[in-house]
Amino acid sequence: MMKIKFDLFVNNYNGGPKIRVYNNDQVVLQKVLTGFGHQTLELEADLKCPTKLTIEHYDKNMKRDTKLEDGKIVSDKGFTLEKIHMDNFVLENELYHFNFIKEDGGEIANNNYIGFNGKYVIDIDSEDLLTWYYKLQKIFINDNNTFDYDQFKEEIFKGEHCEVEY
Amino acid sequence: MINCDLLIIAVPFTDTDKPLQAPAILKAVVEKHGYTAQTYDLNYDFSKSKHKDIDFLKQYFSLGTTNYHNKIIVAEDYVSDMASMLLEAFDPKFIAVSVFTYQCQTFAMLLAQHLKKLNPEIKIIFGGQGLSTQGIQSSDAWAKECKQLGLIDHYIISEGEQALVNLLKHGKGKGIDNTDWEQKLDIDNIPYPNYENYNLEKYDNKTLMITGSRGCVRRCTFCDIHKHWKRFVFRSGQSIANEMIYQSKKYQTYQFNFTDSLINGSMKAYRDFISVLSKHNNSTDKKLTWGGQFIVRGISAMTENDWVMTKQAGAESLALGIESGSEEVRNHMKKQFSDQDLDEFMEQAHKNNVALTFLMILGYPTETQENFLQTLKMFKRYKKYQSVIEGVVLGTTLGILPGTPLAEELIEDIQMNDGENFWTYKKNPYLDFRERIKRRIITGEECVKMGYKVQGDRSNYKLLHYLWNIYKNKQKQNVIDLNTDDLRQQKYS
Repeated sequence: MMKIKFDLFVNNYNGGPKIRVYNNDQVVLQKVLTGFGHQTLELEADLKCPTKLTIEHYDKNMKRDTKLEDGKIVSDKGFTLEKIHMDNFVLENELYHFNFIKEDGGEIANNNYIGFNGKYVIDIDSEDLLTWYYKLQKIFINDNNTFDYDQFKEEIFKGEHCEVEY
Repeated sequence: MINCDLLIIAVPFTDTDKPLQAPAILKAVVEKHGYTAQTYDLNYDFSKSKHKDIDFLKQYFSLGTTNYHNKIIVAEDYVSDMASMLLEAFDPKFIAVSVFTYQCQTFAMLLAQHLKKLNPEIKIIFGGQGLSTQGIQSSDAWAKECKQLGLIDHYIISEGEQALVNLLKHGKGKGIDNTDWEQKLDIDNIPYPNYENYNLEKYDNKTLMITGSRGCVRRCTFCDIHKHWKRFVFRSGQSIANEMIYQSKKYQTYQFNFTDSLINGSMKAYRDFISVLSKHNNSTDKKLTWGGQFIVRGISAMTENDWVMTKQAGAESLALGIESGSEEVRNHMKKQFSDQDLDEFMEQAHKNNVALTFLMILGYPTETQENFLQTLKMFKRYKKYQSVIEGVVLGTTLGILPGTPLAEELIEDIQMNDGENFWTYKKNPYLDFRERIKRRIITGEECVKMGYKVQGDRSNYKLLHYLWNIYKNKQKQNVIDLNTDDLRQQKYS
């Protein structure tokens, strides 16, 4: 059995967000997060890798469940995924790596605030958690193929001149 | 099919065109104890492979990940074919897999998996510095996991010569399935590497590796070697020279490269070595040449006569840990050589035409802007010696490794910021990661302008860019790039 823990920050407007957690297609947790602020959800699930761990946010009415004042969101039904613990492994900054799939099929990248209905999917595509975690740590290097020296230099120097007298 | 007690395999991916040394040493060692052994260099086969997906395979084996999930089967098939080929050619009781860097881990795991499927009776052993993923001091977590998963039967941490024999004889011992390894103090009696199963003619770079010492005489603040090898142990100069002469005759190979942290750690052994080898070279047409890492010594420690003999003995390419053009910074690093020592060294190297490579560190914690400019001034000053400076390795920027004096002694004043490259130093707050990258870029560009050949520049910038993205996104740094057999590169990764 794998111990899974979610550290969340909940916005509980209109009764709070409803969530389901899936191990592949099997629901392993279903809950309404009625309280506001930091919360922890813990569960034990029989996760056999490879698998997909999915956090679903459902039943939010986008018209009723977000409070706007002067066009600005002042209160909402949703939650921020702060950390996910799976046995001894902790996902924190790594959480930006996974996409959120909205119920209309649209995808949101680089985001850990779950404000729409949809599914946040962690694809554990290895035979064991350790191998998968190592892969996850290394995966960012794949995005490094588009390296451009001049752009990098510009970003580092931010317009400052790089000439030196010596 | 060849029956043997032990089949020793080097696995991809190591970016080298030289024959890897570890299987040859282990073969010699176990044969000395009466076992039969064969070696096979799968890394060589891979480096010569014309596979249509070779770039994908290199990336997948190195990093263990890919965005092209549908191609993973290609890698699985490649490893499966290699496993079948090995077991069609050999019938071993044990297979020892040399995991040279962490970038050999993916291939090693897949290979073990396929070998176990084909013949679960064969005992599989993993060994090599690639068992650790973060610095030479890190734990055996990956190897332990491989064992728990049933992929391997045993793993050996660090030095393998005695441990492998103990494993074959007794099934247990120090450094076997634990981190409690023991440093070998007498390295004079290790048998010469046996390359009989290598087709040395086929390698693009016909250089044999040689080990004259383990450990280091220095305690440089940024380095963790002295934590790993507690003692500096070295062979006699005569013994090293004998091995080179013997191997050159046996394999018709005349170039050697030292694996040592430093060749001239013991000046007595070094003088013996150059004395024997210069006599040998003066008496033959097939002169031996060699290179490796070298300490800068002033003329009082390394005399004019030493330099003449160094050249005659075949010194061809010496890699120098100069690190900084600032004596003040080098003093903090405990490099133990002055500007005057360096000037004297450079003059002699130039006079005797001994080629050098400069290994540099940009952005040391105490490096001020003035110190940084002193590094540029040093390059300007040594332009006159450019004929013997065959390369400058600037690396990325200084990473503070666990187990180094920097990590331990400055613990109160250093903040790591979730990455070994992302540190800040309370007493020099201006020097943040961005500033270090700036200095690295400026030095790279100025060196090129001055006519120096900066080695591995693009790959270092790519790595810096990668680290920078992690840093600015406030992620944690977990990957160290050790994708090379070249210590000069590894040190700075």
